[in-house]
Amino acid sequence: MKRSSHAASQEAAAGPSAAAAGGGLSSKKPKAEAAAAPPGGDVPVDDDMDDLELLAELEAMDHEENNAQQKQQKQQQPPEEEDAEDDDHKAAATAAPPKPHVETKALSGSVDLAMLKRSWARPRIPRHLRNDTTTERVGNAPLRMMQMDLDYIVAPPHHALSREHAGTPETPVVRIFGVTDEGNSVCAFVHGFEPYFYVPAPPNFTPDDVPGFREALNARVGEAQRSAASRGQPTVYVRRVTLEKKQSFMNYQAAGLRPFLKIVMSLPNMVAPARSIMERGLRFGDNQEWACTTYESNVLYALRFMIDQDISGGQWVELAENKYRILPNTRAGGGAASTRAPTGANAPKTACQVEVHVNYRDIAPKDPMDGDWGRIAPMRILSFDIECSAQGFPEAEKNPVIQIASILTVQGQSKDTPLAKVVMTLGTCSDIAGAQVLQFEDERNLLRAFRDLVLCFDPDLITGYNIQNFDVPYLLDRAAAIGCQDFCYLSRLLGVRTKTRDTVFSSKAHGTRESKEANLEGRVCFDVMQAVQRDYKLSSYTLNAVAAHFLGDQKEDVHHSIIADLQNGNADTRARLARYCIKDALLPQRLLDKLMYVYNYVEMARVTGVPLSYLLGRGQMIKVLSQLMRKGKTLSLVVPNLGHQGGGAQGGDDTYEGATVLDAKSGFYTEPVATLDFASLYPSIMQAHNLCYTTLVRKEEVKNFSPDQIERTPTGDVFVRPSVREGVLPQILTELLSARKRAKADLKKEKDPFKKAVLDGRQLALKVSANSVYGFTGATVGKLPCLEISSSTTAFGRQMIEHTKNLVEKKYNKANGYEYDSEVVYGDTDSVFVKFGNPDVAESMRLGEEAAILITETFMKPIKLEFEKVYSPLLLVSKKRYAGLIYTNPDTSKGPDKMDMKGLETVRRDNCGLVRSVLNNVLNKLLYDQDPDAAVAYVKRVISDLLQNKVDLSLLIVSKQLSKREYAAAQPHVLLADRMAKRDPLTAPNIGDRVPYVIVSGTKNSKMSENAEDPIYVLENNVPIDNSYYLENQLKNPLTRLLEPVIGSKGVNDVFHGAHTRRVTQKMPKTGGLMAFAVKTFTCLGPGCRVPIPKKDEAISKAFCRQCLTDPRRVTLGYLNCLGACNEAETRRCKLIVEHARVHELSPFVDNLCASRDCPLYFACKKAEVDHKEKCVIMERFT
Amino acid sequence: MASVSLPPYLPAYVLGSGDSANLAREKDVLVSLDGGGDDECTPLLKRACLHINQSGDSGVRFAGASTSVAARQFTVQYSSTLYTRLHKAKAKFESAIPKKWPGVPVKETLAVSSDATAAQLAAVDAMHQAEEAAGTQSATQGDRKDDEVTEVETEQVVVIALVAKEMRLRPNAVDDAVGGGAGATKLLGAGKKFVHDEDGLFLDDDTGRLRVAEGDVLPASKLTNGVVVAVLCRARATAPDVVDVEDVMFLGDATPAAPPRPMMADDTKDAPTYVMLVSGLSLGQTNPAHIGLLLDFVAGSVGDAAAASRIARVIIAGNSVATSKDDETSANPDSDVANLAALDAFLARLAALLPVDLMVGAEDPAPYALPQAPVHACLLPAASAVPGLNRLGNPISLEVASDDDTSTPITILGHAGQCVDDAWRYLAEDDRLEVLASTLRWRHLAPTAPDTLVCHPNDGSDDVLGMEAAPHVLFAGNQPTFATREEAGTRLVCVPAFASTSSAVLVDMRTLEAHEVRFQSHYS
Repeated sequence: MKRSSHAASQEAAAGPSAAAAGGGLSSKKPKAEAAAAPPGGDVPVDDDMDDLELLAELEAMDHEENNAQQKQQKQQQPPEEEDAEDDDHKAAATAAPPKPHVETKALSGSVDLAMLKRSWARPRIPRHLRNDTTTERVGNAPLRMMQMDLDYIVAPPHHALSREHAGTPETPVVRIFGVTDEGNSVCAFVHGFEPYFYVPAPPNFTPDDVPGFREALNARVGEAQRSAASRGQPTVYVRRVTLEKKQSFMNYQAAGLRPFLKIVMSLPNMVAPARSIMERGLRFGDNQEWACTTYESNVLYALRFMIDQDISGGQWVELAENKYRILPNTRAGGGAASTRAPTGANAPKTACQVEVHVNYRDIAPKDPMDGDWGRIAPMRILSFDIECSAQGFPEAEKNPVIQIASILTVQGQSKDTPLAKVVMTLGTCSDIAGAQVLQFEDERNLLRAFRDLVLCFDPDLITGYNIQNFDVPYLLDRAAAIGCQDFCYLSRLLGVRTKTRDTVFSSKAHGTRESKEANLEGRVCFDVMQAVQRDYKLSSYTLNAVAAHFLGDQKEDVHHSIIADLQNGNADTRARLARYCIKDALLPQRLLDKLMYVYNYVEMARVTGVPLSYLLGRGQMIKVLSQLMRKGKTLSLVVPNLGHQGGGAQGGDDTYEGATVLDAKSGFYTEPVATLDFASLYPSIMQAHNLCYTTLVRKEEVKNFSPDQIERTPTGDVFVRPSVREGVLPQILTELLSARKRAKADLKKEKDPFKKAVLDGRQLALKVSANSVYGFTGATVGKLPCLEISSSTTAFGRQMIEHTKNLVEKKYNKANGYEYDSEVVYGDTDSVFVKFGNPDVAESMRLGEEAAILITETFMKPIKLEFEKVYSPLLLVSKKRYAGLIYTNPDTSKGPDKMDMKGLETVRRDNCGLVRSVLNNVLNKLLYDQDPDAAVAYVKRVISDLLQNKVDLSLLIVSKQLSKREYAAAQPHVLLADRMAKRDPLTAPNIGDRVPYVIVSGTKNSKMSENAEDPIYVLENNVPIDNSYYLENQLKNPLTRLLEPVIGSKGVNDVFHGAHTRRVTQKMPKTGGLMAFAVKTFTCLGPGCRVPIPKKDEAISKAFCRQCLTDPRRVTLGYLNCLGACNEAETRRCKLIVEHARVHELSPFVDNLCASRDCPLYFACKKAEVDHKEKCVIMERFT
Repeated sequence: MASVSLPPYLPAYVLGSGDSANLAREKDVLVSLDGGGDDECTPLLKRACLHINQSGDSGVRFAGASTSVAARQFTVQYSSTLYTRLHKAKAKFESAIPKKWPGVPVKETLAVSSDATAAQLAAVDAMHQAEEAAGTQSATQGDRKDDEVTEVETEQVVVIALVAKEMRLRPNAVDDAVGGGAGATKLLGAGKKFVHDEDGLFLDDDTGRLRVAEGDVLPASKLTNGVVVAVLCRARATAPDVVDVEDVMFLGDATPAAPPRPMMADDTKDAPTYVMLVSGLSLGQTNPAHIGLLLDFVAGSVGDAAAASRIARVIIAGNSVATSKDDETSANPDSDVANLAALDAFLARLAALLPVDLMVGAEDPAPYALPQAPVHACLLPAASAVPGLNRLGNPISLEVASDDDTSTPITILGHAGQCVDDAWRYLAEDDRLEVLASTLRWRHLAPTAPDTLVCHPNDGSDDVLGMEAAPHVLFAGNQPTFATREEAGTRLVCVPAFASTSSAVLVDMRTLEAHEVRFQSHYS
C-alpha cells in the first residue's frame, strides 16, 4: 500500500486495504468507551475488537486521511475539540478520559506498516505442522523443538491422550513452549502426568492398608479444600497410593531400601495440603494417628515433570510421530493475537503458531551432548527501552511514555544487523536511518502499537536493561493510569492479562533483592541488568558503566530535564531523543551477544536441568536440588522435605570455620613466589573422602562399623568409605567434572564459532555447578543443609593447606641440599604461596611443578595440586590483599604475562581518582621498576602537590549514588543534592543518579558531610579544597597498607608527615568572605615577579611592571610562560570536545548535549573550558 | 643527492641535480661553501619586485587568525564547522554531478537506506504473498526459514557526504586528558602511522550515516576523516545502511582548476622572478653556519648574485625557532630567550634585504590551534621594527603580482606542514607530496581537523581551512625532503625543513617551476 500522494484516491476508491483501515476506524468510538470504563473492571477484554481491527488500528494513514477522519469525528464530538492536536497532548499528559484517537502518519519513508508487520512475523508454518481443518489431526512427522519455557495449567482431560483421567473434571496439563529449527513457535499441551510425593510407609503397613489410607487422606484433603470443592473441583484428591521401595537421601541407611508410599494427587495444588496433613498426623483405619517427614513434597510440578521425564531446560525434545495431535491453525503466519479469551475446544489458546496435544510418555528428550542436539534454536529476541517525560523519577500515574524503541533479532541469524529497529514516538519524529519510526498522537495508541509489535514479532526472549523492575511495570501501570486496559496482553496466552507482582529474591550469594515480576507466559524475560549484577562484580551497574566496561561503548546520558526539552521541541529534537532510545535498546542486545548470555544460560539450564526462567528468578539451590533429584531417581533415593528449620536452627551462618588458614607474612618479595593451587578444591575433597548425605553415618550408628569401613573427618564427622557405599554427591561431581573435561577438549577442537560458544557456555556451566554443590550443603536456610558435609570439606581443605606448607618447607631447605630455604608466605582458600628463595623465575617454576607433583601424590585421588604461576615480585599486603606480576612461561625474556591485583582499592568508586591513580602508579613503580625509593618519592610529590593545591580537581571527585532519601545519618552526597536542588531544581541530581562531589574546606567545626560540593560549582567559584580530608581520609589508609610492607611504619610516617608536607597553599575563593571588598589589581607576569601593577601604569602594560618591561628577557619569558599554558589549555579543550562527542557516537553535525555527571568527560570538558577561559583572560593582557 | 664541493671563495651556482632518479625534482640548486662566507658583504642588489595582496578574498580568510586572543575564546562545538564544510561542498558538487553521472538522483543518506529497506520489504512481501497464493499445493513451499530472503536490486544514487573513518589505531586523547597533566598536548611521535587494514569508512550527512562496503573504488586507506565526497553507489537491500560505491568524485573534480598562469608584466621578462620558500629554520638547533649562508645567498654575497637578485620575497613557512615545550622537564628558559633573540636578529637582517613573510608553525611560540595567529611582536622587538617583515599566521593565502601588474595575480596557498603531517598518519600513502596533492583534490587544507588536528570551531559562516579555489602554488612547510610537481595547473611544493636538510626552495613566478637550493658549509 502506497501512501501520501495516493491517499486521497485510495480513500475515494476504498480499495480493500483502505476499507480495512476504515473498518478499524469506524469502530473506534465504542472501543474508546470500553477503554474508558473504570480501571479495575476485571474483564477488560473488548468484545468487538478482533485481530483484523488491531492490525487496522496501526495501519498506515496519512495526513489527508487523518484530516478527513478528524472532520468526521468533529461532527460526532462536542465542539470543545477545536484544536485536536493540542488537546491530544493535554489528554495524554493529564490522563483525561480517552477520546477517539487519531493517528498521525505512522511510518517513515513509503513503507507500509502492514507490510512491515508481515516482515516481522515468524516464518510460515511448514507443511508437516499445518492443520487447515477445524479438528485436531495427528502429526505424521516427528516434531522437534527446543524447549524455552514450561509451566502447567489445569484443564479437562484430553479425550484421547489422557483416557485414564476420563471423568475427572480437571487434570494438570504441562505446557511446553518451544521453537523449531525453522523458527516456528510451538506450544505442546502435555497430558497425563500426575503430581505426587512420598512418605515412609507406617510401621507394619501392608498393601491391604492402602485403600484405607487413601480414603482417610482423601477425606482430610477434602476438608481442607472444601471451598475449592464448591467451585466444582474434583472430589477425588488423592488419586492413588502405591507402595514403592525407596531410601532417604539423608544419612547412610544400613538397612537399604525400605517401603515408601507414593501418594499421587489429582492436581498439583493439592500436594501442599496433603503434605501438611501427613506432617501433622493422619489417622487411618484402626491405627494411631501417624505423622512423618514427607519426601519430595516440595518440588514444583513442572520441575517434577522435567525430572521424571529427564527433560532439561533449553533442551531439544521430540514428539514422536503419529503420537501427537495438531490443533487447527488457521491463523496465517502466527502472531496474530487478540485480547479475547479463547472460546471452544479447538480454538487457539496461545499465540504460538502451532499447538499440539501429546501424552507425557511420547516426549523424548535429546541429549545435548549428542550430535547436533547442542545447537540453539533460532529463538526470537526483543530488546526494548522506554523513555518517559518526567521531572525527577517518573511516576506512571503522571508521566507519559513518550518513546519505545525495540530491537528485533533472531538468535544465530542476525548478529550484526538486527531484523529491525523500531522506535515508536509520541508526537512527530523525523526519520532515522536504519530504523522504522512510528509516530503517534495518542499515548494509548503508542502503547497498543507496542503490544501489537510484541504479538506480531512474537519474541521467545524479551530483554532490556532493568526492564523487569522498571520498563515492564511502568508500561503496565501507565496503561492502567490512562485507561488503556487492552494493552496488558503481552504473554503468549490469549486473553490473559499481564500483571506485575512483587517478589523478594534472597540468596546468600547475591543478597536480598526486591523485584517485580510480570507474567509473560511462554516468553523468557531476561533482564540484562539483573544478569550482570548477578554474574559480575562492578563498581557501577548503570547501563552506561556496564556498556563501557564490556563493550567499550558509552551512550550519551541525557538529563531528565533535557528529555522533556527534546520531547517538547520539534520532530528533529524528538528524533534525537529517539536515537538515544534506540541505543538504549540496542546496548542490552549487544551485551547479550558479547557476554554470550544466550549460550551460557541455555547451557546452564541444560546442565542443571531447570527451566531457563528459573536461572534468573531463583537462586543456586534449585539447580543443585534438580541435579540431586535426577541422580536420586536412578538410585531410588528420595529427598526429605526438611522445611526451613533444617540445621540452620543451630546458629548463625558461620557455625563452621572459614577457609583462610595461613596468615599472610606481609612484605615486598622481590624473589619469585610460586603459587600452588588445588584444582576444584571442594569438589575434589568431596569426591576423595566420599562426603555425601548418603554416606554420613549417624553418631549413634558409628559403633556398628569397623574402622576400615568409615572415615572420620577432621571435624569428627563420620562417613562410610566408597567400598561400603559410593556417595551421590561424589558421583554427581565426577560426572560434572568429567563432562567439563570433555567440553573443554571439544572446545579446543571446534572451529565453528556458534558451536564453540555453546561448548564454552557448557564448560562454564559445569564448573559453576560443580562448585555450587558445596555451597548447597552449607546453606543453613537451604533445601537440604548438611553442615557435616560442608564443615568437613573446609576442614579437609585447611588440613591440606597446612600439610602442603609442611611438606614444602621440610623438603626445600638447605638441610636437604637446596640452595635456599623455602618459605610459605601465604595460604588462601585453595592456594599456597611458596617462596623457594631462588631469584630465578624459571627455577622457581621448575621447583613449583616438581613440588606440585610430589605433594599431589600424598593426597587421595582426585585431589590435585597444580603449579600455576609465579609472582615476581609480589607485594603481599595482608590476607586477600596482594599484587604482583605473573609469569607462566619459563622464558621470561618477554616479561610478565600481566599484573595481578587482589583486594586493593584501585577500582572502588567511592575512592577519588587520585587514590586510584596514585595506587596504580605506586604499584607500577614497585612491581615493574622494583624501585621502592621512586615510589616513595612519587607519593611524597603527590602529597606535596595536594597540599599546595596543584592536583587536578577531576582527580578529587568522589561519587555516590543517590538512593531513597531515608538515611537518618546525614550523608555528604545527600546533603549536597538537597543544596543543589535549591540552586537549580532542573539540573539537580535525582534519586538513582550518581552524585559526584568534592570535599571543600568548611568552617571551623563543620562536619565533613556538610562540606561536599558540586565539582562544577567548585570549578566556577574557585572554592578551596579540603586538602587534609584527601590526605587523611582518602590517601592515608590505602597507601599505608601498600607501603608498610615495603618501607615499614617509620617510613610511612615520614611519607605523611615529612618535610614535604609543610608547605600548604589555599585557593582564594571568588565569592563570599572578604573578596567582595578586594580591589582587583593585575600582578606582573614577569617570571617570578608578581608585583602589583599600579592602576596608572595599566595604560603602559597590563602584563608587566615597569621594572620587568625594561628587561626584554623577562618580557619574553613572561609571554612564553603564559602562551605555553594557554596553548596547553586550548589544545586540551579542543581535543576533549572531539573525544567527548566520539564517546557518545554523535553525528558530526549535532552539538553534544551530554550533561551527565556520570560521564567522566563531561566534567573534564567543563574543567578544560574554565581553564582555557582563565588562560585567555591572561593572554588578553598582552596587547 | 650528491653535493658538489667548490673551491673556497668561488661560490658557484650549479645547475642540475646529481640524482636523476628522483623525477619529482625538476632542478635542484646547490650552494655550498667551504670556508667562511663574508658576513659583512651585503651588496645592494637590484631586486625583482613583487607586490602581495592580503586584502583580497583569500587574505581575509585567515583574518581570524591574526586578531587578538579575545577572538580565540569560544563556546561553540564543532558541529557548525563540519556542517559548513559539508554544505559548502554540496553546493559545488550539485552543479558537477549531472555532468558526471547524468540522470542519477542525489539523495541524502537516510533516504538511501529507507528506500532500500522499502524495496527489500516489498520484495519479501511479494514473495510471502506469492507463497500465500500458491497455498499448500507445493510441498516445498512454505518451509522457508527466516534468513532466506531474496536479494533485491536497489536504485543507483549519488550521495554527498562527509567521510568518517573508523581508525582502530587512532590514539585516544581521553586517557591523557582525564588523567590530568600535560599528556594531552604531547605531540604524536613523528613518523608513526595509524593505518589499520580493517579500518572502515562511513558516509555522514545531517540525516544519518551509511557504511561503505569494502571495495576498490573508495578504499579507506586512501581517505582521511573529514573529507567531503560525492559517491555513486547502491545500498544493499539486506543491509540498507551499507552501500557499495561504484564511482567517486572529489571537490577537486567539481571545481575549476587554477586559472592559466598569468604573465608577469616585469621589465625583465626573460629573467625569473623568485619567491623563496624556507621552513623549519629552528634557530638554536640548526647549524648557524648554514643560516649565515642562507642570509649571504639572499644578499647575493655568496653564490649566484644574479639569481639572488631575482628573489623578490622570502616566505618562512613556520618552525623558525627551537623553543622548549612546557611538558618537557628539561625546559630551559635561557636557551628559549637566546634562540628568540637569534631569530630576531636574523629576521631583522633578512627583512632589511627584502620583504619577508614570517609564518608560524606548530613549534613556534604562537597560538597552537589552526588557523594559527602570527607570532607576537614582543618576541621579535628588533625585526618587528623593520618594515620589510610581514608577520603572518598559518595557513596563509597570498596573491602575488608585480607592482605595475593589473592582470590576475598568482595565488599562493600554504601552511607550515602540520595539516599534511596529520593526514599522512591516517593514509597508506607514504609520499608527502601525494598527501599534499590529495588535499588539493579534496579542496581542503586540513580535513583531519578537528578530529585529530587541533583547530578552532567557527560560527558556521565559512569553512576556514577549505580551499575556495585551486591556487597556483600550494605548499606545505617542514617536510622531510623537498618534492614538487604540478597537478592540474597547481604547483605543489613540499618545503623541506631547513634544520635537517639545509635547503630552501625557489619558485619562479613566471613558470611556476620550483628548485631546491642547498646550503652547505664544511665548517660547522
